[in-house]
Amino acid sequence: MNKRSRFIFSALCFGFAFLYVPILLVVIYSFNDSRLVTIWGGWSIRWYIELFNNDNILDAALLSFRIAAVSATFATIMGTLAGIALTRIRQFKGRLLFTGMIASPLVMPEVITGLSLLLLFVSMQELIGWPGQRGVNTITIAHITFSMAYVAVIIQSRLTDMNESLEEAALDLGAKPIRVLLDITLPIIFPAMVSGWLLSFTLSLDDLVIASFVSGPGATTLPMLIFSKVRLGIAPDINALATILIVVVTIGVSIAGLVTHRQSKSKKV
Amino acid sequence: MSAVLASMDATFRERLWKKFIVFIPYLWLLLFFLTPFLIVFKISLADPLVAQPPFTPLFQKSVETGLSIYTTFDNYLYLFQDSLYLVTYINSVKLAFISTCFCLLIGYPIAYGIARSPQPTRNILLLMVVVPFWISFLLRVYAWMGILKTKGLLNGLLLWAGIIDQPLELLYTDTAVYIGMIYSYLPFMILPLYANLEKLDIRLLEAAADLGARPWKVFKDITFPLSIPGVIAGCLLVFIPAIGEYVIPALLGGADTLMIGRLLFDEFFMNRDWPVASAVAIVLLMLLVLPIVYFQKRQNQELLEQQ
Amino acid sequence: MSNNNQTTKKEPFIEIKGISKHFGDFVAVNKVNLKIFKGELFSILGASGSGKTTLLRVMAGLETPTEGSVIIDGIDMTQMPPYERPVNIMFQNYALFPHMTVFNNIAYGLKKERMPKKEIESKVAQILELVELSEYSQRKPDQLSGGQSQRVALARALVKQPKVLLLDEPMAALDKKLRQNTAFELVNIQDELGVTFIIVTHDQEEAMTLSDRIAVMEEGKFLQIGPPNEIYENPRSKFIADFVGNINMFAATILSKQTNKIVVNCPTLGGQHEIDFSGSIADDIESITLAIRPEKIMIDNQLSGSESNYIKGIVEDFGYFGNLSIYRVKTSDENIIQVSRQNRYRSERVISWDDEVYLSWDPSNLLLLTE
Repeated sequence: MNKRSRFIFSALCFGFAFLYVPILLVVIYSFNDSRLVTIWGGWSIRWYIELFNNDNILDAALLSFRIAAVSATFATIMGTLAGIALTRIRQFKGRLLFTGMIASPLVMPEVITGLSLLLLFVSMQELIGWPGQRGVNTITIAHITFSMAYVAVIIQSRLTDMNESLEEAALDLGAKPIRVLLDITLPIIFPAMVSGWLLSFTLSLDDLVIASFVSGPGATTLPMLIFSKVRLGIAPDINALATILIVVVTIGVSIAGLVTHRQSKSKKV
Repeated sequence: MSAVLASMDATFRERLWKKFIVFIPYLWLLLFFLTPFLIVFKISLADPLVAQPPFTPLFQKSVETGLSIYTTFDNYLYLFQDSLYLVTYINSVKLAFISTCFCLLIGYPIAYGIARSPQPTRNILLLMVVVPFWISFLLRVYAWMGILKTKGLLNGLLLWAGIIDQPLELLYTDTAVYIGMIYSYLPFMILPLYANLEKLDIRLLEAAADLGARPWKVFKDITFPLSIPGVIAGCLLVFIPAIGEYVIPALLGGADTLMIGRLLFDEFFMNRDWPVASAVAIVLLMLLVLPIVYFQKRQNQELLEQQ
Repeated sequence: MSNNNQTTKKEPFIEIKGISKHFGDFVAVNKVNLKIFKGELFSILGASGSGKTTLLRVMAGLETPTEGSVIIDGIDMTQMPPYERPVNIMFQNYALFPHMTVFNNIAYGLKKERMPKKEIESKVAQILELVELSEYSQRKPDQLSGGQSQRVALARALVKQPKVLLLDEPMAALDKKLRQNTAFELVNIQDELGVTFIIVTHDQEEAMTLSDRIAVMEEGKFLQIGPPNEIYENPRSKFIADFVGNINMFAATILSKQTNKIVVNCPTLGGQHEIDFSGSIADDIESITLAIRPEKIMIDNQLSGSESNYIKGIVEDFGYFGNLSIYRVKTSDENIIQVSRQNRYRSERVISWDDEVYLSWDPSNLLLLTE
């Protein structure tokens, strides 16, 4: 191997080690019988048992899943509409502003988004008496708002890759524009919509800062709970939770990888 | 004649559908993205009150003067007078900038290595980069707590290996924050870089080599310049949110790790000073507006180029 | 429209009247007029950027023209959206719907017409038979070869029995052998169905083999419209002469003009020539171009004695193509003439590099080009 590939190879090894060693350590220590990191107490699954007996964590997890599922669905719908608007509709009033608003959440620091949304909810409460008690609804709205930006980017990318002549062919064959959307465009971008949904789901499930701002009493999401625990130090049941998540994600991503690999293989060259 | 009328109707309905498609997300964003910023700005011009909500309203009715507008720039003055804020802003930018540089230095070879790998290794490596991205940000930062703390794994390892006699103070320092930032943001740097490098036509490189260029020159003259859009995208995706990062300094940083995201959060939740927090947010936004607009421009440009 | 006209001329089936298309400042199509007759196989031939694809899209309804009108079978369709026009397109990249089977691709247009299911099935089966793809009806587009995809695209467009079929570079994606076969197939299908075909292409071979008439387009305008042999043998300009096929062009000066003849002096071609010419040339023009196609020139090592005019030259280069040979001959005034000759005998006197050769031609084969 020449000098250059040796450098690249070692960079890859170091990089992936850097990415994965902390994760692997968390997984290993979730089975550590001892509470302390420096002492190995033997293999045990006590933290998993503690985890499943912890009602607070289970409630928070359920809440987070509900919010994630709902917000992902709405974010996907609106993000898809936004993506279609930006790639297929050539001109409309205020397009520049729209483009700006859609791209911003991707880079906007969460403290700003969180603060601004909270202040919006408070002001709206003053003005029109809604949304009342902050909690699930406000968190869901906040998550929809930033997730739809990600979905829009994914859909935009897929639509620009897609051959526009497919839609023109449908028009030519007698389909009105709405039928073109339903018969041709949506079925073809559907996998991208699924990616968008999954991404929105994960972003919602993982959000701490924005949820902290816009939540209210009684609505503690899983990240909020985890954060309040780990601020005080290491919590072994969190290790267990993390391991479960890692396993789920790894399986999910691997399945997705296999599916796309199998799909591209079945296509005749 | 009826054909003309029919087509007129069709185009009208067409236009209605188009409006509908644009309208829904537009309205949502106007309401839940743009308006909040205006409200933050408005509240940054108010005084704190011990009330619900804890700030003075914009419009005030009084029997004598009728409807009047109350605004104050006190909060901004407070920000600029207290050196703490200035130092924190600068520190945040510095930290974000250095983290971005490290992410680039570490991420570029990784992205390059993946892009040049043959299939199916390439897909596997790519999946391996994506997996951490999908695991909770919070949990990944938490992982470092156990490693970096005084009675933690890293110190344990170093002590056991005899490399050091005293445990290193790593957790709750700036160093820990750097490590946490680089670790968490690395996938955000690798993925856009990879997307760009993957599209690189290998024949360009072969042509250069064929013309007599040595590997380093090929990289310097061809690969790197062509990868610059990916570099910029990756850097913006790391730098801009990193400035306002909260979780990493909150969990890994010390009391003297000044970052504006954390300051804003604490100012808001602990001091309950909403107007000052709003002012902090607005100033932060001003700081970021140029990079954000630049980012949007590039996004738009790339979209148009692909079409 | 009065119907007691004793017109011997047919009414045009498709009329393009003064169509222009502007994209901002750029004029893609510049006030073009065109008449196409029913059942014709018509080609619009032009290089990239000539405006031909834009014109096609205007005819299909995918672009609205900046001015002008499109009249098909007597109906003004200019403002009609594409889904209402009795016009169908076969796209260059075929545009087959990847998520539908071959059957559903072809049936799509019929479904939009709300045709009953049984009727759709029979029509699709019929057209699949016509394009010889009956066994492929359940395949998906990614399982088809290039030639098969093209036939599906054709079937999909034809099954709706449109009044006009527009074909955008129909053979661009096919390899040479396939192209020849497909060309014959296309002509046969068109003949059988009687549909008016309009082909848009940059490939002059394609245009010439397929078409009843060709319109040569450049920079948004039509330069010449006519049957293939007219375009080839009577090109109206140097551009057209060179664009369609190969041609030798040499400078000449006008010596005298008469009613139906012009006498010119062309040093390269051996001096004075008298050419039949019934066109008009402005009085102040002295120089003109004399042109002749490579296959119209005879080349030999010796004279036979029956040549009416000839020049001497030296073979600088030649290319052997199996069925013919192309020679590049250097004339006495250092110009190169290209000559192509069929290799009519298996064993023939070989003409090779540096040979001294005689080039001769029939005077009627000389072309005068003014612009």
